[in-house]
Amino acid sequence: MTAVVWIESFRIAFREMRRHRTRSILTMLGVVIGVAAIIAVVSISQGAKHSIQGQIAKVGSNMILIIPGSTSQGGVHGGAGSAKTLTIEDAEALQRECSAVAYAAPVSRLVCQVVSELGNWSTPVSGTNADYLRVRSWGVQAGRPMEPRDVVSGAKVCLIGKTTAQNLFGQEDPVGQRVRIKGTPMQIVGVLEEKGQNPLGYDEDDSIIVPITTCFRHLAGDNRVHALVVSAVGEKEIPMAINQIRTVLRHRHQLREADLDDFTVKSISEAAKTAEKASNIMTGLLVTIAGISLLVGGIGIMNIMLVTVMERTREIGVRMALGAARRMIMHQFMIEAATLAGVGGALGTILGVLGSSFISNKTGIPAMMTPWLIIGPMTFAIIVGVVFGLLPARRASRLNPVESLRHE
Amino acid sequence: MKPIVELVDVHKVYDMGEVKVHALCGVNLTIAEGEFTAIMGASGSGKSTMLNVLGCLDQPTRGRYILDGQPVDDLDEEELARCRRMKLGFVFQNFNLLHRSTALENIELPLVYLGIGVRERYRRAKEVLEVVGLADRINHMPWQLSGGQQQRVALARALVSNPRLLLADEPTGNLDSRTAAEVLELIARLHREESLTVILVTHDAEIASRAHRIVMLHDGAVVHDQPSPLCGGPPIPAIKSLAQVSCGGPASDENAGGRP
Repeated sequence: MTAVVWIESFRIAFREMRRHRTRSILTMLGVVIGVAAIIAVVSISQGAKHSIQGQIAKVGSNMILIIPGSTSQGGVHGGAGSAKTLTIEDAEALQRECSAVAYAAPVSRLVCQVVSELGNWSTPVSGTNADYLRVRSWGVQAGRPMEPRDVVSGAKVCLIGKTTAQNLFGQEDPVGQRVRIKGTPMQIVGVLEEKGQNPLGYDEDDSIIVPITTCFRHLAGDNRVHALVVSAVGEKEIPMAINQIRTVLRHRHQLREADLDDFTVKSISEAAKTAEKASNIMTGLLVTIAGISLLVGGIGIMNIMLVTVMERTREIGVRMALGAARRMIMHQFMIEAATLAGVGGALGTILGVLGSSFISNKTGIPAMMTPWLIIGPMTFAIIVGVVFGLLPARRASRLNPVESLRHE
Repeated sequence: MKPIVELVDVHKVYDMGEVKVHALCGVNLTIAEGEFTAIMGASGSGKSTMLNVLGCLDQPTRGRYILDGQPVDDLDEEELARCRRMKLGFVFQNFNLLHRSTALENIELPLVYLGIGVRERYRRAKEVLEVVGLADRINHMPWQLSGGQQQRVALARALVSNPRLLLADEPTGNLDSRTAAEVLELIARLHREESLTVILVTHDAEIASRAHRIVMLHDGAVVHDQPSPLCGGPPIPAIKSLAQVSCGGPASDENAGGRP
């Protein structure tokens, strides 16, 4: 029996909504705005988070960067990285002594003019060891990667990025070809996989990698290590790895208790996590405001439902005389409130999806839609309708049939 | 004949704070299946209260009410609604059709609360619309119908659930005399042909004279219970000539009849 009454109640709910179109739309507005705001805010912030995570994965999510500290001589501060405190041996020691470190590679960087038979191109050259590509989770697309023997012997070999290869050789296969870097002839042994832009917008594919020993001997003119790049064994072990790295380096650099570190350890994912935490707080705040709008919408629904119950007192009396139990009257008005909220929620969902794709278009941040993001706010809206419909529905169901029938 | 309605020493007292208003004072009444009874009385005589009690919309303060063999004076709200749904049909003076629903939807309403499906509802609603002669007005809204037509729709609505008892509260009160006669004739015909038990509440002797039995109320008590002149009974006494019967409290026009 209840099913028939429920179906009838839904029919009445939609009919009443059509009858009082303006009133219904105004009543639903709070719910519409609330749901739309939740969907837009969450989808954009999830999209932003996702794209940041993607970029971190590109850099190497377990990567830790160590740069030399600043020099301070006669009151002149050299700025971060100005000290020559890091060495190839430091990298070897980290790999050997730190259990939480998977790979460690020293990096020496400079920009060189590179000449091929077909053209020339200025590009960043990194001198490093065989583990560098593992730290960066970077593969080789053609040819072979760098091997430890290349570093030991200071071989005149190099790996070349996709963009650089195109600029120097066009469509030709660069593997096996020779180039001159700062006048030194080198053989290309491999082509790096495409990596695209890094989070700062630099094209990672425009680069050349050579053994660090070769770099020192033929290109750099000094033995300066600009950075150590290290990968932790797992994302969870990053804090442990950072501690171990500090201990080992302080010991190797013979720093006393009171001395400050002469290097800086940075973890990409830690930095990203801090940023994520801040953005989560922001998202939470915005969602709370949207949620409040939904609740205010609920109060609007309650208000209108109270008016409706007043207006339809006579109808309620007639329904009771014709056999409607109090429970049925209660269900009818709760269904009306929930339908208002539900339709508002549906409109809000459409508006939210459109809004987030609009914001996404304007800002370039991808909007991320999940089924949960549709179901969640919609369900919340309906719950709001049911909860705020409760009081008017109870009032309707408690009316005295005799008095209601006399109501003008 | 099996009794449909049995009122045994029924009292209804309204507590108005300082005064207690006795709307019904020990009413005893038995109505058998298939009877056509008119309940008469001036305004304030307690006839509305009696109708509310008979219609399971209100419960007696004291006394027994047995409807179709079932005591209903101690039922809870839910069970009372069930009684109204299963056993009773109402016709009101002001029709009380739902303005936003078509004639068909109005008639289907009691069947909705009986949990009857769409097709069966439609079939039965159409059937009773034919009985009241409005088959061609099925999708009309109440405001598109004349007063007489509206009351006939209301009558169809009261009959659609095959009630054991039809309660008509001044059913012709808002109609002109010609239409009133038509509606009254329809009720009489239903009583005759379908052997429907009818209780008709009115203050009009001419209308009451169409019934077979006349029950008169005055100050909450039955003062006259005779067959109608139509069935060989005595003439209906004028309401004003009835003696004052008191039962412990003032029953002014305003208080006794004007309130539930």
